[in-house]
Amino acid sequence: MPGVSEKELGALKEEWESPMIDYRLQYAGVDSVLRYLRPLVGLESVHPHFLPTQKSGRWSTTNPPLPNFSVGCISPVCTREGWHVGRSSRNCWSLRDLVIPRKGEWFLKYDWNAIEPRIAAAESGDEEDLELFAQDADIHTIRMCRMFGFPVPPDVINPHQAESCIEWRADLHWDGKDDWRRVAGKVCGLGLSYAIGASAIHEARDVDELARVAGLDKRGLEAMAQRYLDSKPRLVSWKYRVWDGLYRTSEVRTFLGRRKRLFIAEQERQRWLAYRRPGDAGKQGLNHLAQGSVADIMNLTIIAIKRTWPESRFGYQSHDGLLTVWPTHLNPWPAIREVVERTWIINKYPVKLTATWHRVNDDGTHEELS
Amino acid sequence: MRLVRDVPGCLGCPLRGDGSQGFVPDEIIERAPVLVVGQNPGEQEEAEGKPFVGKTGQTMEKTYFKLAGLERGRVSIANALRCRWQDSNELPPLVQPKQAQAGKRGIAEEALLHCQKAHGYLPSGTKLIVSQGEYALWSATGQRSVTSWRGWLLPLRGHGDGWKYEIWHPSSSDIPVLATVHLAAIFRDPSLALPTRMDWQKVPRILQGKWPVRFPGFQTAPPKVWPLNSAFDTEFNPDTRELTRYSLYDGGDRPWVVEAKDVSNVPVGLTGKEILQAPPTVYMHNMEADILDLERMLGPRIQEFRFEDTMLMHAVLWSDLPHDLHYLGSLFARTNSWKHLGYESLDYSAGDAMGTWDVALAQLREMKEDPQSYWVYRNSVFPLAPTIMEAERVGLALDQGRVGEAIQHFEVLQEDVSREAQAYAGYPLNLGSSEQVSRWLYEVEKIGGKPKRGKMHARG
Repeated sequence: MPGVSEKELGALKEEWESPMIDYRLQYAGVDSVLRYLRPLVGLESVHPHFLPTQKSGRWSTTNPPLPNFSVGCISPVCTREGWHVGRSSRNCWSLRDLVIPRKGEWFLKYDWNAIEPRIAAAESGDEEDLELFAQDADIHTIRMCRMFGFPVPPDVINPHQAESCIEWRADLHWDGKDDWRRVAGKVCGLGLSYAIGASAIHEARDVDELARVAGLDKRGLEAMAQRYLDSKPRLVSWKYRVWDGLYRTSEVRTFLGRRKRLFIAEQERQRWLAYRRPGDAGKQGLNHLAQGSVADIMNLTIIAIKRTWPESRFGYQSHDGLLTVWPTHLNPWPAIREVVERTWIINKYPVKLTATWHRVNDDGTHEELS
Repeated sequence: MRLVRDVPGCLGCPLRGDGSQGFVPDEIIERAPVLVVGQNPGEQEEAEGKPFVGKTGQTMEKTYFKLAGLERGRVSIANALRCRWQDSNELPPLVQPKQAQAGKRGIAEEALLHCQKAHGYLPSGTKLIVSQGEYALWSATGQRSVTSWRGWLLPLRGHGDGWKYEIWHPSSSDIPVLATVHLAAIFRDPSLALPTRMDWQKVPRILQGKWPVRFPGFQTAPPKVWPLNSAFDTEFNPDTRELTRYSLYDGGDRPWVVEAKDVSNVPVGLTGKEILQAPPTVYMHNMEADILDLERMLGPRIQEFRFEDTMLMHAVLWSDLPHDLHYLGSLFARTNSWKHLGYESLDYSAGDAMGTWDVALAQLREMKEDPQSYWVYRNSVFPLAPTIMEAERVGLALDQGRVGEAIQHFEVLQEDVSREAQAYAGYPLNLGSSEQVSRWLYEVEKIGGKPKRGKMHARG
């Protein structure tokens, strides 16, 4: 009899509909969280273990795997309805907020904004995107304009409210930040920078939201993704250059020199040579250029923070973000922005990073820093 | 094609079935020094009545025989099972938990023993057996895990169990078995190609007596002065975390294995001027586990030392491969396996120091050929180690109130979904029981199989 592991049920769900599959998957998901939580009862602190053994070059965190904990609020006293991100406050918190500053300490958290698309823009020489990132423009709206052949709004930073964009908004019957065309620009832009082709849209973040607001089915989503890729010839041709190289040399290297050796099945290599259709190695290679780059940017940033403020402490790393621990008497803000939001030279282009910042105090209060 | 039913030796084999499958005899070359043993014949082998003539066999000849300096016709080739079970490439799993629990052998093990007894033949002049995959490994040695033994040597089944207690080195009368993966596994997982190539490259070195090197033993008195370059490792009590012993190797005749009671402040011995010229270097595998003890031994002069971490180096060089010392040792160590001995063994400690030394030299050679990787290791990965260690040591405070509330939140979710599942099933089905859910899905709802179009609804 086949098994009922998460993997087996996931595969089964593709082909069969049974509520029992969903029940079991939900049960197993909750069970795995409880397995991490129950041993924490009575402990004053956790001592996570970090290893640099992720294939991406990022550090993995175990015991417990804090970065894998959901950011959704689970506070029993929170008054906000529906799923929302925990705000790390007294009344609104997520599993990640089980760890708190000790008395006399506080947390400083940052999350880089769109760091991977910025790297892709530089690697592919997409000067328009680089310029938009540098201006802190509403890149999702501009991407949407390119996708649908609309004129670019006169104010690229705030097309939703700027007076100069009144006519532009009227012509497009613009719905503002939630306009489905902007959602399309956002989902495609974030989901397809490093993807093989249009079908990768189904794995993109918020794709269900796009399907809902735009009323698109599976094929419609792929057509939308193709529209985005057609509007990005530099991005697409860069990917082909990467694939040409990696299928020839079986390796790919980030701008900081981190190499990934690819173990390519002979069939896949032959398929590339014959039809220029990339496979798993093509996907891994592109992922490495994004994730391998971020891994070293993160490492070098952590090292720089520690060198500048030796009293600070590493908390844990979460995807493109970091939690750091500080003694109350020490406040590196905003000087630390120079370290974290520095400019990197990638493929000869200066790439300025930006981040979202949060402070968590030892009394549980929380504030966004800007 | 000769059928199993016409081969008298196959009578009584649990995989014989109706005997209509083809029988593929071994290709024996008397006086050939190497016997290569595979799993069982494929379709083409069955049709031609010869082992290793299909895709895997061709790859073996073209790629791996070349690496091993072997040539078809001058090497014996056999299979652990000499027929195709139920006309497919599938075989019953080697490990069958129910039988194993009852202390019995599974059907595959019974068949392997039967086949070996009925048809196995060790040609005269055989000096080495290369076993590919778990069936061949179990048949030849009684060991099941290719992952544990790949790249290492074991004695033939029934030829003593000294290997369990020492770093085994074959004597002149032994016929060692080199474990490697089944080549078909590389088609599924191409990352196995690299270690497999290195396994086959060992064949001529084994035949020439160049690998493995006999384990030289160890010295127990602490070194009089700390060596200029060394590999260092510690063992500690897993319960108390107290140091049990350390091991050290400097590339010389024998490593040191020093018990904790003899651990003292070992003089560095080098003058400041000498250190300026060439700082003493210590190689460690996962430095985090050893550095605090090393600091205790060397005192403040530890500042004058340079460290390299072979695990971090390998993580930069080969991000997609395993980074544990047992795996790296299977590629680079001069001696045979030591990790299976367990940390209580002193040979294990000595092996760790020697293995770390060999792995370090191999990694540094590779880094030299790729200065960019060395830059990443030296500037982006290695300097993080102290920061990470500090974070692990100090930890993060927990809000116990939230821990309790979180557990309650998820327990309620679990109860809710359990109730829904029970209402759907119509009886108190235990959603946490794999057996009960499996029975519901596959027997009651009869889902499974491979529907060709659209989604299929369960029959429940």
